[in-house]
Amino acid sequence: MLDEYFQGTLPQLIERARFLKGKIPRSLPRDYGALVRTSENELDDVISRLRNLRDVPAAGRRALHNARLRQFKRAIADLDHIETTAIAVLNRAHKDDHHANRLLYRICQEISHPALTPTVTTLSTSYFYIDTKLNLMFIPPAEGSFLLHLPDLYHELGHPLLTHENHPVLDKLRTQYLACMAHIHDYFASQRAREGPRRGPRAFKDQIDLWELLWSKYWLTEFFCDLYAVLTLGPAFAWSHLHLYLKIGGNAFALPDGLRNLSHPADDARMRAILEALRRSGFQNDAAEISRRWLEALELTTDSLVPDYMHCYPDELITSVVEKAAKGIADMECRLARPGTSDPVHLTLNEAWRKFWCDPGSYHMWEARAVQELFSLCEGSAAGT
Amino acid sequence: MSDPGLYTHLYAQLRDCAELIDQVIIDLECKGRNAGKKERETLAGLLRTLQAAPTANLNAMLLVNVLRENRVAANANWNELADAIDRGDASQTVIGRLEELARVLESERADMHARMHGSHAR
Repeated sequence: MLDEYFQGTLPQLIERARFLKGKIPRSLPRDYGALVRTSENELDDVISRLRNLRDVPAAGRRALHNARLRQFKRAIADLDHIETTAIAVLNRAHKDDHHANRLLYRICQEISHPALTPTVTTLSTSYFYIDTKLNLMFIPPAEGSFLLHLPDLYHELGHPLLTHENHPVLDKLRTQYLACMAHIHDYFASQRAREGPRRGPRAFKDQIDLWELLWSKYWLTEFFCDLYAVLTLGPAFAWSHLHLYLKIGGNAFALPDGLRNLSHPADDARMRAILEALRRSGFQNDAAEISRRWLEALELTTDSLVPDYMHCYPDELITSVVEKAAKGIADMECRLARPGTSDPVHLTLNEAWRKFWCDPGSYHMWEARAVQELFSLCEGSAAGT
Repeated sequence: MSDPGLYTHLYAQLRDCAELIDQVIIDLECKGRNAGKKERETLAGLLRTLQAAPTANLNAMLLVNVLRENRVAANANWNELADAIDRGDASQTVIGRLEELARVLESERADMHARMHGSHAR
């Protein structure tokens, strides 16, 4: 059955992939060059995989057919993904995207970002995120016209740094990341040995297993990206985290329960790491001020420590992650934020938060002017390159 | 970062790992000992890392997590399977173990794909 099915579908799918290559617009600004090339390469890869499927012999054991079907499904999934992300973005690129791309390019220049500048689109339906395979960053449509959440761009820039292999500069961060992974494994193994017999082995072991899994699968990546952001931008990122928590955060001390709070670490744990990194970067006064505001925010939301929070997010692990991420980022020779850093985007984003707290009522008027100046600056630097 | 980004981060790793295992299954099924050596070596190396020091390699770490989450073959002897792959052993036992790995990875990949595109049932 599979062969007949493939006979009908494979040529059609190959044609679909070819068709999508033809849908890539020709008149896009050069900021889109990398995304165009990646899209074409990914489509070529899908076409090649679909063609290979035609060449596998029809006869064979069940395992052969199962493997072919899985390969087919993966090729289709990849084709769908490229069509609904990269091709859609390229076809709907507009002026706001161009501004955002120039801003991100300028940021990457300022911080000596050690990887290719991602392409940005304002088509996000889900806050900020980055597709690391396509090197395509999604931000909400209006976000490029306001300053207070732009620090999250720096967080997103961190993600691709952890996915590239065989890169002499990025390997320095990856080495530290893997060292953290080993530390996480050792820490939770010791927790199992120490706490298991005291608490009743099964339930607590299951809990520790879940924490270890989430740390290694999701949370460590998030911590590293937070630290990349705060170490290259400074206090503005910490403020942005507080801002996001007040706007959409859940319980700042939430623990995973098997269904919820799985993909991101608790907001308070993230803030602890961010503040630790700030103090190490010479921003002790800013860290003290943000810490004070953070405690006020926790009081407002009435979030409080839950049992086992410090077992799941111990100081020992947080400190170790901060140390190792800081070393990896310094080893990559990125420009680290210090109190005297004078790069224009850095200054604007940090100044925005100072203005916000200094005179909240008139902040929005200052922001409107600052955004225009930032756009002009980025257009100027784009024209000069 | 919101969830779709985290999932795309893992998706690419899962996809590559699943693709590698299926390619080895197809090669072993079709060619046995003459199967493509490069893919076999890569997979055998990955399985040995899985056994010896999973935290030394991101792909091995991913595989450990997926297996742990699916409660599959926690005490499996991966070195034994790696040796069999190196030999080009296409016996039912070897293919069966590879098939089990491939099924778990495919299920995780499909789940991740659904999450990325917001169509997850939960």
